[in-house]
Amino acid sequence: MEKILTLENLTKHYPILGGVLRRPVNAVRALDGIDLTIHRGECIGMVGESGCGKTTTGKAVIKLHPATSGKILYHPPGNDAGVDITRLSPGQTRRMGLTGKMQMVFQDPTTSLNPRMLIKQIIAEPLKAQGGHNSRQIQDRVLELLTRVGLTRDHLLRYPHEFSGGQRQRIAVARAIATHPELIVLDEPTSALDVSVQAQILNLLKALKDEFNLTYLFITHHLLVVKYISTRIVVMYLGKIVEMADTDDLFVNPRHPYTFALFSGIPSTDGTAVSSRMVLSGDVPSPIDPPRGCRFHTRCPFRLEICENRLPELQAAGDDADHQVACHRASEVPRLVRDHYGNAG
Amino acid sequence: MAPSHILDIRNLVTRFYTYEGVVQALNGISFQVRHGSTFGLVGESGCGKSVTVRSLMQIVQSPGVIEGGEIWFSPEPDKDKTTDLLTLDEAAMQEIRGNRISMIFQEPNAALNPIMTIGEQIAESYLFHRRAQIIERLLGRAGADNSFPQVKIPGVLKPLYALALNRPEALVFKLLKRMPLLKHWDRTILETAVAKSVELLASLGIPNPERIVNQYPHNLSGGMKQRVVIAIALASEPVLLIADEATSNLDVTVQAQILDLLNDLKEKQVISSIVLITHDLGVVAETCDRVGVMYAGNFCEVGHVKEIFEDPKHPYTRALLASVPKVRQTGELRSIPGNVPNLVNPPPGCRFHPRCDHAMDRCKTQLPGAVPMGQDHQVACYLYHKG
Repeated sequence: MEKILTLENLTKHYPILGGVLRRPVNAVRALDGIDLTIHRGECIGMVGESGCGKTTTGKAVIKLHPATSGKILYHPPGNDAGVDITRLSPGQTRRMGLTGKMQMVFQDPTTSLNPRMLIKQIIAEPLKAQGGHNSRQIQDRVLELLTRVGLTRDHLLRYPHEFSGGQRQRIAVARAIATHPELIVLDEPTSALDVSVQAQILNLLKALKDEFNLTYLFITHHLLVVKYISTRIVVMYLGKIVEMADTDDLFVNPRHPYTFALFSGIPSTDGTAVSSRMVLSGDVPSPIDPPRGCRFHTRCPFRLEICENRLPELQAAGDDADHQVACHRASEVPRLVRDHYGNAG
Repeated sequence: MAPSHILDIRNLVTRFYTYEGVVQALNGISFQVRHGSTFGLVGESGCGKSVTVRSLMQIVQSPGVIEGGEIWFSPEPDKDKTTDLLTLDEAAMQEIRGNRISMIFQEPNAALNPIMTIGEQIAESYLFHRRAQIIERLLGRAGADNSFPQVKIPGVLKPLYALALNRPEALVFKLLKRMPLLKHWDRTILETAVAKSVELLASLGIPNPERIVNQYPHNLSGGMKQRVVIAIALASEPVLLIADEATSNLDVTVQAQILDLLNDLKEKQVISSIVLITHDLGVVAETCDRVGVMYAGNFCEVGHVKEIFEDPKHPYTRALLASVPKVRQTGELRSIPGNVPNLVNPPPGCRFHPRCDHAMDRCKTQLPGAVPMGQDHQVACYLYHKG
């Protein structure tokens, strides 16, 4: 498959300033060196608890926040070597024609839409920023986008507060696809919505992906949503990727104890009560001072001495190169979980 | 006949008088909660779940008014004693609110005071509801509640404590309280309550309770804060616990911990019954015995969890269940077309009819009543009305 984006050892530390001179005294290690390849036309789901660095990844990818170190390589169609976009200025990005190739949809549509702008201005804004369109073209395009996401011409001259949450998220999606992007980062696009509306938005996103050949980086904490929409899932914990696999493979055959715990935490509506669930004790440790060794060892029920000292590498689990896991005991974990918790996974 | 329901709500009507018109938030709802059970209230936002329990506690905020109905509350299962909460005056309601019925809110950050330590906040609940018992215990009276630790108080202060217990309104007590040397006379009561809070936190499985009671809310994580909120709610030993979206803001692994804790409390009979409000159908499926599905201020369907999830009758329940992604999801996710109606001007008849696949002419004009379906299962839909 053709690559679109490669993250190489991407790191993002937010400095904590202290003292009289406000010098950095420490750092929140929100993202601590992740490697990820995103292929064209796929939907990567990124899951994990709050504070694990999902959103930071999204923001670093579209360069809302500059990365501390590491590389982001963008691969235009047909160019496998890629262009390093980590340190490009906005002017350089524009000259290379990359403006608008990556877009983002945010979690809460109430705060991501400017309350003082009309819907037509909101959707036209990225087109104006991209440049090269006259006002007639912009107007036509805005109307086209609006009808595509299921709104009508009547909605053009309204303000965001006149819409329901689901409609607002549709507007945010229309704004994101306005510039014909190749990659869209979706940061919890449905977590502020009701279930019935969530289904509408998910179906809309799925349809748009096929229609415009989009690539999604779908960030969420809701595992069933990610299962529905994604082809590949990345599980994150404290700024590190702990497991990465194709969706079907991951749900059938998880390898990392954290993934097991996440799955076991899903309340199921199927009426099949889980016999015993794997409930982790404690909370996510602070990313300011992450635990030594494997970051999950403080909550892991199967930790060994090696886990406390050595950070496990992300490696292929078994013979499947697409299923990668960062755990010292990856090969034993499924058996251990079965022995301890029954069929909790 | 002894009432087997801890709560029996009949025809409850709550309206909000706003500038835009009258919001008909609750349109005459009725349901029962049994002793020793967990009742789940589900529905989308704006369907009246929170207003229901706020009406129940009579903390509906202005411009909301409870306009009619009855709320029968019977705290003890085997005694034939039941009261209509709506007929009680504010003073009597104070005795019940937070004491017999406690509530946990969604956002622990907003529920906790940022400038008070955790210990003080839990102690506040004891000081408010159990002050007399603490003083009796400190005075070493026979028959006093010995669950509180006994601390020695200086002999000089004993008359003051006795006054505080017997004649708190007396002028001499009010004057004595203000004397500079006696200003902190009630320090011991607070310390006793904090010591009791440590016990309570320990019983909820919180590590290092002695350290936690001296910390402030911002020192704790989200899951820990929610546990503290639960501790505050349990301090008064309520018989009914209302959890209003108590786990919605938490991560899955922490949510699992909190739900485990609630189930555990019910099994140990610390609390008799729980009313759980949530929009997450999965949470309901795993924790509740009976469930009521609400839509736009009405109940669509009330019944046993298993029946509702395996064989939903109401079109809304069916659509709602179909729109949740499943573990074994196959094919397209079905969504409900349209939006939740505005309750200032709700659709006439059945409020779900504009979004319903099975809408008939009758649905557009008349509100369907609840029809019993089998044992302990009611559906408000004309599909099941006979004749």
